[in-house]
Amino acid sequence: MNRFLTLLHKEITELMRNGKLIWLPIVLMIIGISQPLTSYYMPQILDMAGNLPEGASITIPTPTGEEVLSGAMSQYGTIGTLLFALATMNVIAQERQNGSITLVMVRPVNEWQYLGSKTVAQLALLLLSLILSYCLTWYYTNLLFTPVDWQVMLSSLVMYCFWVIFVVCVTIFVGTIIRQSSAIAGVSLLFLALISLLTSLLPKFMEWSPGNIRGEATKLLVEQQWTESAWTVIGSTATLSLLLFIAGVMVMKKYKRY
Amino acid sequence: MLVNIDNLSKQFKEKRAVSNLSFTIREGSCIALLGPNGAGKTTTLQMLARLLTPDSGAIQFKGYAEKDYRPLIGFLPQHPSFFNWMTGKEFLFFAGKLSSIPKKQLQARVQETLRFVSLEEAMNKKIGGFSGGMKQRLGLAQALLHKPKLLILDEPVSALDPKGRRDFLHLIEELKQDMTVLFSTHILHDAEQICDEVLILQDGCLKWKGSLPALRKEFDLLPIKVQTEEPMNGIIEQLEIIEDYEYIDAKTVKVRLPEYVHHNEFLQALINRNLSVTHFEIMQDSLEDAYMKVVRQ
Amino acid sequence: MEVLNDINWALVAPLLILQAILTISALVSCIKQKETNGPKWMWILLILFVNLFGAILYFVIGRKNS
Repeated sequence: MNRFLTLLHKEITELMRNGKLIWLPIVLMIIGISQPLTSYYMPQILDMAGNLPEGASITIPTPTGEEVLSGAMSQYGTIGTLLFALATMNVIAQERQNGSITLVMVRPVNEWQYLGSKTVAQLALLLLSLILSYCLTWYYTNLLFTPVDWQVMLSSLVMYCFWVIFVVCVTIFVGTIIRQSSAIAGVSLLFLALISLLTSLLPKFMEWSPGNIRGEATKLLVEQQWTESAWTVIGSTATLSLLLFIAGVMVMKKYKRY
Repeated sequence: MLVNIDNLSKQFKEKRAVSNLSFTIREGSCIALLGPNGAGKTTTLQMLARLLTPDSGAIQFKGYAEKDYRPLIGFLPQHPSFFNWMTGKEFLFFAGKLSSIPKKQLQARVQETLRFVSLEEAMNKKIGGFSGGMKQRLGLAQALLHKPKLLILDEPVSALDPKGRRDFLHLIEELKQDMTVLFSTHILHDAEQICDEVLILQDGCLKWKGSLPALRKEFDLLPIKVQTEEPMNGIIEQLEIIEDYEYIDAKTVKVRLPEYVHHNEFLQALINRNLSVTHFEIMQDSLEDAYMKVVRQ
Repeated sequence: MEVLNDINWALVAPLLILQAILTISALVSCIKQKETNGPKWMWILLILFVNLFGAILYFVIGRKNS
């Protein structure tokens, strides 16, 4: 436990020193609050673009608060997922490439502690960024659109956190197999895209799929109640993430060379 | 005896890096692992440090039941790389905690170690700004921080300048009072300065093991070197007092005499045959030759 | 430019501030960095003129890790 905490402390200090703990939350907050702001100022933006013929007027229905929040979530789903994978791809690859992993592994550190510290630190960073960003977005939404109940906001946030957990576990698992960081991000994103694609193509067989998380979170916003399918998706995502983590540790144990 | 290494083998794709390597390490000894580049020294040391899993064979620490003996060893890789964003002191605290040094002792131990490797002044600087020599010394500091039984150093001085090299060898010399040291080098001179024992490795096989005097004795074959103005072909062969000889060129030859023959007799014999001797040398240090012999065997 | 008057700057200000913090921290990091992947001036231009993504790109792949 002590070794795990030492490694975790090192990971978090590293996140602070290399600036990830600053830029990632900020970028995510910018992405989040851009959503309500652009929705609110859409008429002005179109006006500024100015290619409308004289006298023409388009009426855009003002979205509800829930719709704006689910719009933010779709931003997290695309740019957000890309960022999550990019932020996570390096955590093992870099230490393997520059060899600093050797000075850790010559000490009595086991693979659980090593991978565990990486996963927990990365989750802490990404979840913190997501929570900050989503809460700020919610605040803006309440100012500019119809207010959304905080419990509804919170339950959709919790739901969405599982997507982040899944992305981190996938990327870290791929990171134990591949050495090249760009390939790690590529393979992870491809895998995540494939899951989302299969989920939308074969909805019947993929009810458990983590690809349903965003849909379920949107449903929580709109219908405002937990359904059974929400639990299914949470359960399967948590199980899959755990299995990926265990598989990552197993891969590391099999390493002949770090 | 501290460690017993039994039948260690390692294959990399096509190349057999280490084959059937067996040796023991006595407690308190200082052993040099010698060999040309690519002989399998690094592979051997990495297997000992458990950074590389051997294909076959066993490494057994005496009186240590657990399979994971990492608490007993300290390792300095050939090119140690650290976390550049840490300071030297932070890194040692990090390493010490991973090795479970009790909190109360850690502070004192870190200070002591930093003083030993003379990094006290730089301890609050970022490692990213360290010079090669400083990194090497920090590497040594992290290896001996937890007072390991066996200190494994991979080419500890090959990247250093002459002064850094000498200082570093002095450090190792001091350390060998307290712990068993195993280090690799491709330079015989380094080994000669601080070691009692050498293991000579070539193409992954152990070619020779024993003390340096024994190596000298066994291979110190041709300690007399003679140069003459005239070619010596045909003359050396006829001399009965010579036990063995080797031509360097037609006018230069190295010979060994049996113990009962004084070297003056040999010189006399040459003069008697009308050879003008321009150089006559009894070589004191032919260890290098012995080493080359072992390697070429 | 009367549209600009319609905009409630108190609402937009936090967005601009976040953007500024991001750009400045990327710039500071880039200038302090010993070595970048590719020429440093290119990164500075990217950070300054490619909104948001310049800074992100710099943080993700711009820094050389020895």
